[in-house]
Amino acid sequence: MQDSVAIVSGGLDSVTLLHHLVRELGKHPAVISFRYGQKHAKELDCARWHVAALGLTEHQVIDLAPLSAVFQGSALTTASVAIPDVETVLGDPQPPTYVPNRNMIFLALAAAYAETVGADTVYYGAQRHDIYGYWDTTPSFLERLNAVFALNRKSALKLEAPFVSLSKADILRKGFVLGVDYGQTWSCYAGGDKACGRCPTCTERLTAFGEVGATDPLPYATV
Amino acid sequence: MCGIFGVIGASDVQRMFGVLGARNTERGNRAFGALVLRGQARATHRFAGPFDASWVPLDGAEAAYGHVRAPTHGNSENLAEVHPFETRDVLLAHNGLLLNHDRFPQWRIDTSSEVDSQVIAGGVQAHLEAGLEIAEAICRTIEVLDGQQACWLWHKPAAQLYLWRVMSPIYTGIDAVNGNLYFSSMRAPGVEALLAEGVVHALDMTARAFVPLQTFSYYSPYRIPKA
Repeated sequence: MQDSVAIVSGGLDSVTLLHHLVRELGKHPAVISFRYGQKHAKELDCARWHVAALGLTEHQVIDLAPLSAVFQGSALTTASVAIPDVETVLGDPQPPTYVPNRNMIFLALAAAYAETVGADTVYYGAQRHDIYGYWDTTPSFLERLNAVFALNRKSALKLEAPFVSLSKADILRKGFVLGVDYGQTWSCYAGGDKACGRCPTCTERLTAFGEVGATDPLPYATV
Repeated sequence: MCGIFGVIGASDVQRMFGVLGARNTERGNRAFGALVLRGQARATHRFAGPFDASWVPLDGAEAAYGHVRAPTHGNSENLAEVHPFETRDVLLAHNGLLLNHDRFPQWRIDTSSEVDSQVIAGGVQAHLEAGLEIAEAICRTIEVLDGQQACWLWHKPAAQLYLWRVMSPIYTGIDAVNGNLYFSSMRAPGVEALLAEGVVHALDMTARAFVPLQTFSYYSPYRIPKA
């Protein structure tokens, strides 16, 4: 019986969140992942790997690729829009890596899934520094979506982002305690065989590994 | 989140203020503001809506410093929340987002406003009133603020411009022909030198440069790897 739903992309944050839920909080989450036309869809293999490693049985990989026309314009989904270097996106209130209203759609579908499986909480892996570029990761966003879901007349449903006050380095420290295999996670937006080492998420990931004094087990093209 | 930019040089303010403002519009299109300097005279302007250089009186200006706004806090229509923020001694515009500004209510200029940027100006002012000199007042303020910052600050008593950045970029450039100086959150032709992070810079009109003045400590989750 699932008591919650966890949105897991296969990246460092959401995978650590999944381990935190299962191994620290004793939760039994149903897992939901999304294919939405992202260049780095290989992250979904990592999500599947961790779901299996934790012995979880309920995992939906929702294919939104047929709807990818509504997610265009983002560097994550549009071939003609290059993945930017980190230097060009810092301080940008909505960088090219933003996917139009993606998080609202993911959370709405995860909430529907939670109602379906009888779970009362949806977890997602927003972290402290996501809010620099993404309005749909802020505590205000979460608070207001929770106010909307509170209108549900039968299912008391809550959205939670347990890592929203943690940096990626904090998350990594937690993950090392939990024994997370970060060789089975994928963050790079570029979608190559190796991580690019230059995009915003590679930079943040490498900085976090450096901060905790560890080496990222992923292969990098430029580091 | 927003964009900042500036032009120093009487021969080019009108044209380049428009060029850089337009270039920065993708960082903010809800409101814009400016500080315009003519000799000893100083004028500030604030407008709601997308940047339009024709709304800013630039005739005879020797320098103009601008800001385009994409609000992360507060009301995008409220002109009191449009940069630059002003205290007795400083005017300040900020690109970025502060994560812990609510820990410094004593630095709010307008207690009814949620805007994070105002605490930078308020903090510098508080340190000036405590007797610190300007560079030290800036450093003491920004060292306790967690978040992205690219700022220009005009120190009124000394008529002096300061720039600094944490994460958020500031690109600078100089016109080889007329010696005019530029800075911008967005890279533009001829405005492509990234200002050093974690250093307060002062405009030096003799050297025609933004010169490093004082370093400060900061946290960034994005340490750009060396090539």
